[in-house]
Amino acid sequence: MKELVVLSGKGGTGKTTIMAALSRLVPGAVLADCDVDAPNLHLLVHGETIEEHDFTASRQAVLDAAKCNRCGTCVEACRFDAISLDDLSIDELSCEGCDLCARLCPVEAIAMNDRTSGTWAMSRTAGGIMFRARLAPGEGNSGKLVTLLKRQARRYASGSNASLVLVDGPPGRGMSGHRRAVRGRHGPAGGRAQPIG
Amino acid sequence: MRIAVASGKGGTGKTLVSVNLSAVAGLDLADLDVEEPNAFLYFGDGPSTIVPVSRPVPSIDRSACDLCGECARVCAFNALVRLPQRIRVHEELCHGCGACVRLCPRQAIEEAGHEMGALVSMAQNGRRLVYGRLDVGEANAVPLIKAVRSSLEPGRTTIMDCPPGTSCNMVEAVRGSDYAIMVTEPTPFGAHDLSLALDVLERLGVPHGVVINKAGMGGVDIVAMCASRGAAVLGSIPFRRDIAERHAMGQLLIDRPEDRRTFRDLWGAVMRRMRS
Repeated sequence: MKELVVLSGKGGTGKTTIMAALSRLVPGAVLADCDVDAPNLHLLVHGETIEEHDFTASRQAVLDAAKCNRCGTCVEACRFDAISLDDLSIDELSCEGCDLCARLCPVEAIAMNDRTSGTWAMSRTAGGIMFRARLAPGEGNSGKLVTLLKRQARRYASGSNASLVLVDGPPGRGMSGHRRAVRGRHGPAGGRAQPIG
Repeated sequence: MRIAVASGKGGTGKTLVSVNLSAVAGLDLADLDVEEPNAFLYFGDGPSTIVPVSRPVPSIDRSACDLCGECARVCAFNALVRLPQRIRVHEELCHGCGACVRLCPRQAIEEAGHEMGALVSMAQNGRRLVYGRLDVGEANAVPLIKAVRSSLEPGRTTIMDCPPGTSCNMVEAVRGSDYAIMVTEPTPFGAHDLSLALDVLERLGVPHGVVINKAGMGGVDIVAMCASRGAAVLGSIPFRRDIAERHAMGQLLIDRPEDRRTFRDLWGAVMRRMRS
């Protein structure tokens, strides 16, 4: 089984267009839309969703106002400025789930809850099976979600004797999704004939 | 005052709007798309100041460490691993939360700087450009985006070119802005990702309006979509070959009078919205 990754660097250069075309040329290839931040492949390659799952990869601190004695230990310790003692709340978008506040709180007023960071799904398309995911707004962990999608796509491909896995990568060149989308496989890069590309 | 330019989808024209708007209105420019900063390509050559940016990561004092492994247990990001002879630090996984430093029973952990990129700034005709440049393969851009934001001069109005998407990088860039200009294109992709990005802005409570770039292509009715979501349309930029060509050559569009008017009108619409 081979794996082909389509990448660019800049957004809007045509990754998804190339992916959709390739999926038609290679019937039976397994598709994975790894641009989990703004997935678009399903807009071009229509399909019927067969399975859908929540994606849980981190935790989230929750403050119990009834137990809190407003000592401020958590506020002083939090590197992400996520905790406000004014309204006794923890900002979900700022909290990274490090657990330090919960460990330091002298009155055990902070609990760590599982956090659903998005969803992933398997759908049946005219060209084959497609795996796609959607990261919830403001979430990190896109690298873990990319890893999960690729693992699912590979597992399905080897179980069904598919010869090719096609991966639509995210834009940019940070590691969040990128290195994970590329890791160890073959990949052409889309490009644009202009300085900004 | 900080005005964010964001989109959802990549390639809709965030940088096009940012560079032309800041030039026509004589405003400072910040590029927070630190993975792929492009705005400097339109700012001209000139001397720049480059300051390295680091984020904190644990550094283990091996003479004090008794290999108890508490740091590895408390790390929520699996950045520390206890090996038989030493504690191994995976700096790329570290979020810099400081839990290991605070909770080490022998105070054997200090924080050291892990260089993640640079803050680049330059000035031209009284306008300032600042941007972040993330090192290749760095996992977490958020500390660098924060560094660019905190380098902005509070008394000056700055146009901020933001990263695409809706994840933590985009949220960090847009958070705390006085206004957000959302750039979209009338295609199913543009509309889909704009809708996701509007969800984020509503959640953050940042007032916003929409610019329709490449107006005339695609056939998706963005005006109707904005009306149904209660988002204001600030203006549109026509889908014309010469615009694409000049932008692709690294030229400013406002050098041509009719396009200059487009961006002047856009800035006027933004100012009216911000006042109301």
